[in-house]
Amino acid sequence: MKNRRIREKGERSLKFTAYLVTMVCVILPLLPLGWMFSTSLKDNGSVYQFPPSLLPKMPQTITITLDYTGLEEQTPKDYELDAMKATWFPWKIFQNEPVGEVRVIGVIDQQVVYEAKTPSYLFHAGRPKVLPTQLFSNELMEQKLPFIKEAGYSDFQIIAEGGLMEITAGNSEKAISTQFSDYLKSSEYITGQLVSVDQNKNIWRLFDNYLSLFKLSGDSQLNFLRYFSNSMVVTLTAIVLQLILGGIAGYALSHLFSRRWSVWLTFFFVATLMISDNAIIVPLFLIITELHLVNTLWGIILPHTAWGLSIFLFKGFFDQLPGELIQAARIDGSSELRTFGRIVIPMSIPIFTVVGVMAFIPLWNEFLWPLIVARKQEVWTFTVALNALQYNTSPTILITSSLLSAIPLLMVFIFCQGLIEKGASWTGIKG
Amino acid sequence: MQTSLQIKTKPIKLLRWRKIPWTAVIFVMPSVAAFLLFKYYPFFQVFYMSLFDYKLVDGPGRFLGLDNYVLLLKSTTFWIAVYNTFAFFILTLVFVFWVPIVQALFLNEIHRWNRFYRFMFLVPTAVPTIAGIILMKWIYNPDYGLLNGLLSKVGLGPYGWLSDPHMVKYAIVVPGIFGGGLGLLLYYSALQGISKEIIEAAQVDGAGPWHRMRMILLPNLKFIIMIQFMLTLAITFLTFEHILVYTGGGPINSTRVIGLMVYETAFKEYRYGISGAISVIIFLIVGIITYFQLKLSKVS
Repeated sequence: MKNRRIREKGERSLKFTAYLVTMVCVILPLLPLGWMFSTSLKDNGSVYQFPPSLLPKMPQTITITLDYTGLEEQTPKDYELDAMKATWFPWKIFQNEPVGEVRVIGVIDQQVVYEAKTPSYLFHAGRPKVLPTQLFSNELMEQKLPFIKEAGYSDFQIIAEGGLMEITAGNSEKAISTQFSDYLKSSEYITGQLVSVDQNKNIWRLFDNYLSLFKLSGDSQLNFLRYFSNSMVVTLTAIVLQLILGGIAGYALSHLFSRRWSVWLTFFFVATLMISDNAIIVPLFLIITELHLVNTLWGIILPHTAWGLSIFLFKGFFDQLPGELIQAARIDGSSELRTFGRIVIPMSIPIFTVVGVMAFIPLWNEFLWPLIVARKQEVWTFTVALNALQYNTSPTILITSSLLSAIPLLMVFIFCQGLIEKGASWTGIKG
Repeated sequence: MQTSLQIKTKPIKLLRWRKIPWTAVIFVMPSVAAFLLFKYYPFFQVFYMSLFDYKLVDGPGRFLGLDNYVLLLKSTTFWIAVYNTFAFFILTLVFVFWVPIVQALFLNEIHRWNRFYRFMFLVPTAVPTIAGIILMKWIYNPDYGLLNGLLSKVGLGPYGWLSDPHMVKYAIVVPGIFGGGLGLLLYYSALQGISKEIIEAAQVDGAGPWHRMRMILLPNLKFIIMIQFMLTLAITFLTFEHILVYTGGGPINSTRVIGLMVYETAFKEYRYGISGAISVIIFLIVGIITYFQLKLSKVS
C-alpha cells in the first residue's frame, strides 16, 4: 500500500538533521553537568588526580578490631579514648584516601565491649579543629574528646551484653586497610591489641559531600546553608514586592487612570527598561549607603521593587480583562480596593504566576548587586559566597554547593515550564 | 435649550477636574517612588557624577567639567577595554548568538516529545551563572581540569585556558552556548505563531522543506532576532559579572571590558567621577548602535 501522501523531497533529510541537531544540543550540555555531579561525589584526594578519573572512587568502610583480653580493667572513658585515637589519628594521616567510614570494635574474650563509628563527612567537618596538625599525643585526644562528643562527630557505644564475635586475625590485602594497620601497629597510643583491619565498599558514603554542607553550617566561612537561605529570602521577598507593587500599579494604569495619564505613566515606567542596572550601580550604591542599608538583605532587595517589565506585563494583562465586570462591581457600590481584591486578582492568577516565575530566574542568579551591598558574611548570598570562596575552598565543596544551587531553578522549570514558555512568548511578542 | 445645556455640562466638567482618582494615585505611588529613587535619580546622578572629582563625603567634590572624559579618552586601558568589549561582542555573535536560532528551527520540525526536548534545553539554564562559571573554571583548571585531562590522553596540552591571553576570550565566550535555553523558547514560540496557511501555501507552490525553513520560517524570526541582537549588544556592553569571576580582567588586561572598568574605578579605586563617565559612554555607545539598528531594520 502506498503511503497516504507523497513524501516530499528533502523531508527525510530535514527530519534526520533535526533529530541529530536536537540530540547533540540536548546531550552536549549534559556532559559538564555530569562532570559536575561526578565531582560532587569525589573525595578530597581523588579530586586532585591528573588526568582526572571520570567516576568517583567508591568510599571504603574501615573496620578496626581491637582486643583487650588480658589487659587490666578499663573504664568506658579509656575505651572511648582508645577508639577515638584509633579512628582519628590514622585517618588524619591518610585523609586524602577515599575512606567513607571508620568503625572501631573493641573485644574482650571474643565478646564485643564497644563500638565506635565515624562517617567521613563528620570526620572532615571536625578535622580542622580536632586535629589541625599531625602532632599526635595521648593528652591531645584527652583534650579533644569532650569536643568530639559535644559536636557529635563520632558515635561511641559501650555494649554491655555484647554478642560473641568470630575473630579472624590478619588483614585484608587492600590498600587502605594495610595503610591503617601499618600505622596502628607502630603506634604507641593505642592500648588495645590490634586484631584486624578490614575494608569494605560503602556506597552510601558517596554522598557525604552533600551532608558535609549541612555540617559545615556552624563554621563561619563555609556556611552555605545560610547563604542559600539569604538568597531565598532576597528572591522571594523581592518577588512578593514586585507582584504587589507591579500588580496594583498595572491595574491602576489600565483601569483607573484616564487614557492620557495612563500613557504617560506607562512610558515613565517602561522607559526604565533601557536603563541597565550595571550602568547605574554606583549611584544606586550611594543611595543604599544613604539609607544605611549596606550589609542588610533589605539593601539587596529594595532596588528590585522598580522593575519595568512586571508593570508592563501586568498592564498588558489587565487591559484584556473585560471592563464590564469591573464596571458592574463599581455600580454595585464596591470600593476600588475591594474590586481589585475580590474580582481582579482571582481572574489574574496566571499573570501573577508568570511574572513571579520570570522574576525568579534573574533574582536567584543575581551576583553583582549583592556583591556590592553585602560585604559581611552574614548577608552573603550564595553567588557572592561562591565567588569569594572559590580560591581557598576544596573544589568538592564548591562544586557540590554549585550543584545544589541549581535545584531551585530546576524545580521551577519542572513545575512551571508552561508558565515560562507563556512568559517568553508574551515578552517576545510585546517587547 | 442652549442655556440649559451649558448649565448641565459645566458642573460635570468641574467635578471631573476636582475628582482626582485617589485610589489610582495610591496604587501607582509606591511604584513611582521606587522608580524615581532606584532608576531615574541614579540615571541622572551618573551624568552629574561624571562632571566632578566625585567625593562621597562632603558633596560632589571638585567640578571638572569634561576632564574625566578627556582623561578617559587619553588612557590606553580604556581603549583596550573598548577593543575587548567589541571583541567579546563579535565572538558572542560568532559562537553563541546563532545557536538558539538553529536549535529552534530544527526543534520546530520535531513533533514527538517536543515538550521534553524543550525542558532538556532549559536544564543547563537552571545552573546559576556563577555556579556555572565555578564549574567551568574547574574544568579549565590547568593542573587538575577535565579539559586538559582529556586532551592529555591524545597527547595535547596542557593549556592554560584562562591564563593565555590569546585563548581566554574564547574560553569565556564558548560556554555561553549552554545558556541559550530561554532564547530558544522565544524563537520557538515565534515559530509556533507562524500561520499554517502560509506554510501550506508555500508547499503548494513547490517549496521543499529546507527551502521553506530558509525562506519562510527564518525570515519570520527576523523581529525576534533583532530584539535578541540588541539584547546581546546591551548585555555584552553592560554585564561583566562573568569576567569578574573568571579572570577579573586579566591576564594582562586581555579580558578587561568597559563594564568591568565602571565597577573597578568605583569600588576598587574610588574614582566615582571616572566611573560615571564610563557609564555615560556606555549609554552613548549602546544608544548609537541601537539607533542604527532600528534605522537599518526600517529600511529593510
